Amino acid sequence: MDAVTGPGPGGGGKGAVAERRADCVASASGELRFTLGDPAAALVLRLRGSGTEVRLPVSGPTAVLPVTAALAEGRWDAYAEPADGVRERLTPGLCDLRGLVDRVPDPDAPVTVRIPYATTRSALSLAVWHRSPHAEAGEVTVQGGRITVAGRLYGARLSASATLEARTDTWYALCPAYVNGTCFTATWHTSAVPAAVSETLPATLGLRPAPDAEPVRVARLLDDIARKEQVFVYPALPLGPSRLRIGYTPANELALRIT
Amino acid sequence: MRISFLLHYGYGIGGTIRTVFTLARMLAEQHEVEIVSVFRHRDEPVFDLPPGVTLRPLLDLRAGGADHGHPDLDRPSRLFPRGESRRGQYSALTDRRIAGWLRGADTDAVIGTRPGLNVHIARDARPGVVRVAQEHATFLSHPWPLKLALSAHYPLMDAVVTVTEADAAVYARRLRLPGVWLGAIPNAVPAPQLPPADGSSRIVIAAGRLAWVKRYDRMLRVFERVVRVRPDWQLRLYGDGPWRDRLHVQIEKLGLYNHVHLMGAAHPLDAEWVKGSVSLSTAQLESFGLSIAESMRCGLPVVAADCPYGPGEIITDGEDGLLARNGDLDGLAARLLRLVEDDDLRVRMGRRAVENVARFDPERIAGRYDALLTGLRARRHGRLVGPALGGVYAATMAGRRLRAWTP
Repeated sequence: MDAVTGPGPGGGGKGAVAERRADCVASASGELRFTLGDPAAALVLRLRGSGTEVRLPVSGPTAVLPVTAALAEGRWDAYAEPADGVRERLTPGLCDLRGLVDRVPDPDAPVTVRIPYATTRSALSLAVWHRSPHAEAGEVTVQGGRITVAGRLYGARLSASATLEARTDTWYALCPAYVNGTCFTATWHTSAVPAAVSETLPATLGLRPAPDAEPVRVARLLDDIARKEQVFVYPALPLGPSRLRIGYTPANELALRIT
Repeated sequence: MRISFLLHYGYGIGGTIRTVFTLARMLAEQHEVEIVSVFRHRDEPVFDLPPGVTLRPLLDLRAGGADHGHPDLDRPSRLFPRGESRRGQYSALTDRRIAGWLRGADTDAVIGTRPGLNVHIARDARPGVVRVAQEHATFLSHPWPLKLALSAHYPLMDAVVTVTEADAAVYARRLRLPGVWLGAIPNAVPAPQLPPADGSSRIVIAAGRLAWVKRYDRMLRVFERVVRVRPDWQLRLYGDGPWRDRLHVQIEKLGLYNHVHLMGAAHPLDAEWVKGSVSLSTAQLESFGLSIAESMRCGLPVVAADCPYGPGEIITDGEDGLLARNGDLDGLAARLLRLVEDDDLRVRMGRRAVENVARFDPERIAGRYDALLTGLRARRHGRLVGPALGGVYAATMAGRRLRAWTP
C-alpha cells in the first residue's frame, strides 16, 4: 500500500526527495554562499508581495549573495532557474549560520541582515533587513511592575535627552533613556500605559536619539534566528483588568501588547 | 538478503526513527531493505528516505486515508502487550495488519524496533525468517506486564539487540534466553556534513523531546547557577513536547528568559549543534543518548548526568566530557562552569569528542548488523532443515560406527 522508495543509486531520481535543495553558509560579514544540489543557471530571489527580483549567477554549484547587494527589507523567496527549464522553489539543505551568531556589524555601514530560514512549507526564504540607523534590542527585564529594555544604537548618535516611546493609533507612552556611549537603557512603569485601552494591536517601540530626531525602531536582528516571536518570550505584567506583555513582532521588532 | 525493519511510525522525528533510517541507508548498499511503518499520518517522512530503501505503511490514517475512521481501530488489541507505552494506539486492526504482513512477508530478516512489535514478530514471523528484537529503551524501564510478555516471547527470537552493554547485562540476568544471541550494538551516528564547532561561541545546547524524563526542570536550575557566574552565556533547548508550557513558566520564575531559549524542533540538528560549544544532558534515563553522541560528532564536549545507561558508555569522563552523579545538580553546575570558564579545556575535549565517537560511524555499526544477520540466517537455515539433516547424519554415523565395529 503506497510504498515509496528512496532515489536509486546515482541520485537524481524523483523519489521522496524530489525537491531542489540548496545548502547555505553565512559568514560573519553577512555574505551568503549557496551550494545547489542540482545544476542551475541562476538562483533567483523574489521579494514577497512585489515583483522585485534579484538574480545571482551560479558558477559551478555555487551562488553568492554579497553584503553589498541591495535587497529591500522583507521576505525573499529563493528559486532555482535551470538553463532551459522552469523555475523551481528551493528547499533548504544544510544551513551553516554559525557566522551570524553574535554578529557585530560594521559601525560605518548600514545594518544589513539576511537570515535564511525554512518557511512553514519547508521552502528556502531569506528574512532581510536593511537599516540605518538601527536600534538593536538586548536584554529585557520584567520585574516589579517595570519593563526595562537595553540596547545599542548603530548609525546615529545618542543624546542625553534620548527617549524610548511606544505608540499605536489609540495610545502613546514614553520614557527617558539612559545613555552610555552607543548603549541605552529605558524603563517603563506600567502606570505609564493607559490601562483602560483594549488594544490588540502591538505598539512598536521607537528610540528617539534626540528630541528633534525621528524615532528608530527597536529590533533584534544581529543573530541567526529568523523568527524571534516564539524564542524570546518575556513575562506579562498585570495592567488593570488586562495584561501588558513585551515581545517581538513577526518582523522581529520589539513591541508592547495589551491582552 | 532482504531485510525488513518493523517501525511504529516512520514518518515522524525522533531518535529511533533517525537511527533506523541511518542503519537502513548503510545496509541498503549491500541488501534489499524496506522499512514497514505500522502507522502513517502524513504524506512524506521528515527524514530523507535513503536511496533504494522502500517505506511501506500498514495503516493509512491520514485524513481521507484508506483506514481513517476504520471501526476496528476502536476495538482493543489482543496481541500488543500490556504495559507497552504505545498500546493505546494499537487495536484489533493493527493486530490483523501486522500479523498478516508478518505471515506473508517475502523477506529474510525482520528487525523489530520496539518491544510491542518484537512480541508480534515472535508470534507471527514465518519460520524461515531471522527475527531480531531491537531494544531502544531499557529492560528495567518497562512495567512488569511488559517484562512478563518479553520473558515469554524473546526466547522465540534469534537475537535481542540492546544499545548499551549495561542493558544487555540486565537482559542476561533477568531473562532466560537459551540459544538467543544477546548483545549490544550502539546506535549509528552519521558524521556531520559541516565543519565541527570550534568552541568559541558562548552557547550551551541541549536537544530532545520536551518531556519529563529529560529533566529539563533540573537543567534550568543547573543553568541558573552558571548564569549567576557567567551571564554572558546562553542555553538553547531544541525540541518540542508536552513540557513546553511548563518550562516557559519555570524560565520566567527563575528569571532566565534572557538566557534560556526554547528553540522548537529543528532538523537537521547538526547545523544547530555547531553554533554551540558545550552540550548538556540532564536526562535521568537515557537508553542510548543519540543527541549526546551527535553533539560530540559535531565537536562539542558534553556535561551529562550519569544516568542509566547511555551517557556513561558514550562519554569518556574527563576526556571528551564530564559526568556528574545522576540528580547531583551542584555537581552538574560545577562541571558545566569548568567547561564554560576554561576555553582550552573546552576546545581540547571537543576535539577528543570528534575522535572518540567515530566508533559509532554508520559503516561500522551496519557492518556489525550485517555480520549478525548473516550468521543468524545461516544458523536458522541450519535449524530449519536440522531435524531432517540430523536424522540423515545420525543414520550415517551409526552406519559408520557399525562398519567400524565389524571386523
